Amino acid sequence: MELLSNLGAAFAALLDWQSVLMMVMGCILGILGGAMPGISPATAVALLVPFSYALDARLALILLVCIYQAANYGGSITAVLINAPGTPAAAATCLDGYPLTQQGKAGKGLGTALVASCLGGIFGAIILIFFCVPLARAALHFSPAAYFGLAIFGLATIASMGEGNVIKAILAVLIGLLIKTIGLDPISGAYRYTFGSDLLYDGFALIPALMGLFAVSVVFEKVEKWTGLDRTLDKIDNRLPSIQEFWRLKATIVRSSIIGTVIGIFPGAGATIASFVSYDVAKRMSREREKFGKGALEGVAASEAANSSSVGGALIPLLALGIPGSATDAVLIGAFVLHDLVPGPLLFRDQPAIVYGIFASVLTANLIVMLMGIYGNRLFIRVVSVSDKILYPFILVVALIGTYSVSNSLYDMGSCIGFGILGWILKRYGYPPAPVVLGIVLGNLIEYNFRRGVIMGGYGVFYTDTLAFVVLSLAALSLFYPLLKGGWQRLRRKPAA
Amino acid sequence: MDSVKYFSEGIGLLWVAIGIAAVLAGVGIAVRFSRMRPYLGNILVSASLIAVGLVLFTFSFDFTEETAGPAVIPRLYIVLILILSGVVLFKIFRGREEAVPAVRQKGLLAWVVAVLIAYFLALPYLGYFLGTFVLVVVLLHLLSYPKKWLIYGIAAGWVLFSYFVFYKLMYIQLPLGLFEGRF
Repeated sequence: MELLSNLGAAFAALLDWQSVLMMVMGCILGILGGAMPGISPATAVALLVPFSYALDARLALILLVCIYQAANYGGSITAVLINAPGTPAAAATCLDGYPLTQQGKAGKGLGTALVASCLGGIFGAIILIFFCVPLARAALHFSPAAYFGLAIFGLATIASMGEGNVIKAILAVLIGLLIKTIGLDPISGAYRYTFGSDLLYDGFALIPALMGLFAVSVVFEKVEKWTGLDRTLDKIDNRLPSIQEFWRLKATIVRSSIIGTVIGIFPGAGATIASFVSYDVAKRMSREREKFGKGALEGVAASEAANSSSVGGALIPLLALGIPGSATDAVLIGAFVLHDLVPGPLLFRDQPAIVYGIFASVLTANLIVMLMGIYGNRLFIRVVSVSDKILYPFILVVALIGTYSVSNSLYDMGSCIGFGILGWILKRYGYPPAPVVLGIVLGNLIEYNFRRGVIMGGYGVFYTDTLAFVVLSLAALSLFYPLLKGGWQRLRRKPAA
Repeated sequence: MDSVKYFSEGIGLLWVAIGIAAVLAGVGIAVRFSRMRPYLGNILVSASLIAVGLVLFTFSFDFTEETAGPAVIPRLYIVLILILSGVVLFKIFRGREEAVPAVRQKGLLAWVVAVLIAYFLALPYLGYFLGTFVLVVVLLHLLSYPKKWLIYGIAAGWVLFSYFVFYKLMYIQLPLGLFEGRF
């Protein structure tokens, strides 16, 4: 009852013009920030933290969490329209979103992303509100071995992404994982594969790799097959999905929202992992698996519902225990400190208005984004009608400045170009670039928890820890099943001697 | 190990890179004049992964050796890469891989990549605004944008947008090169 009365008071407080203004501004800035390749939700929030100092703490945090929530939808816009994920979490959305645009169904892709994102966000917010404390307590009991298992399970999903080329997909992941070992060792602090260059001390950042592998390599791929012909406008269908199409996605959206929320709770496992795992699960459970990667609405819905619902999940450990659940959460902690606040259980007792204000604004932000998306989608779709002769040079310049803006680093820009060349070569010879990104994302998580688990309990910890054993078994099954299935099918096709 | 350290940086690293390039060139020439010529690219990618993997594995002997130390994970990844690349090569030679057709627009692609690399190298000197103006103009010309008179307008428009949004509004410290101190 106390929760409901506090929540009611928080919603009532949102009705004042300042709160409405902050939510609307936050959603607009979040969508725009998320849509710009290179500006992740963490970057978008970080850019606004200094400006929030002039605001009241409640209003500041409302603004920042709305940016955080809306940016996850924003990332899907460029992912669908130009195959350049605006946020790392939208990388999975590219897999089916961009093919829809190529088929002239950009409206369906954006509409599906919008609805799935908003419904997923609402689901995540509801879980945040009602299960904040107990969910966070359960997740914190997981051992390093269990975290390692979860990350390996995330990698095992690449087996399904490498449709018909499982081995090359696994190789792509391994390339990404190996790239992530460059630089500072997360445990011992030793430098690895820096080749005497201080530029490599921090290794390669995720954003340059993402921009290079997803945006720059696409431009190279298009130029390689350049015909000079432009898309004609009449081929583009800006119709939203029908009510029946949305209804058919209900199970996917609900399932993906649950996956996204649960994964979002784990510190370090964020929206990107949530979207890829959810995408893989949706593909496995779909009756039309073969459509995935070619414009399946289920694929877009799964990715977007998960990455948006993970926001609610990620806020649970932050608000309940002061532990950031994602990179953006870590930036939000900076905002709390700026306003002399300490996130954690005491905040619920001392500043309930702020906590419940965050709950209410995260929920409301999804409704605002829904409205903006419905009426703004047509404007976004006009982007698709721009000539490729203009589009691809601007994809390059936007990717490069987006990469540069992360750390004001020319080295990152150079890395982006290098990853673009690498991505083009890999794609050309059948190695999908998405698993490379996944490897880079999960590299530190896997290594850190593997070595911590071994240091704490020896190599046997991965089967003595029940949860780790179960998750690793599932991962092994997920990884080897496609290989064994392929081998069995080849054996069956061989003629009898 | 001193020898490993010598080859992992500076002149030693240059020799290693030359060695890898020579090995791959040898593999490429051998494949080019054999019946496996259609699979040249496929074979070179796998061979590159194996060559680089072996070198990186050797470099890992320079890391601290301890239980669950810094060398464990990279070696694990490299061993898997070596095994799986070997499997891919096996599949290629057994005819279970498809050959990749030649690059259609070799010249155009080479020009685009070269322009991009030149842009990156020139950026500290030209600055972002001038450098990007030139980049956009050159790319639009390369891709044969029909309205030649509009090319310079489009490039100028992007530069103005970058100036007001990225440089002024978002405070991104873009390199200014020749124009340092004038904005």
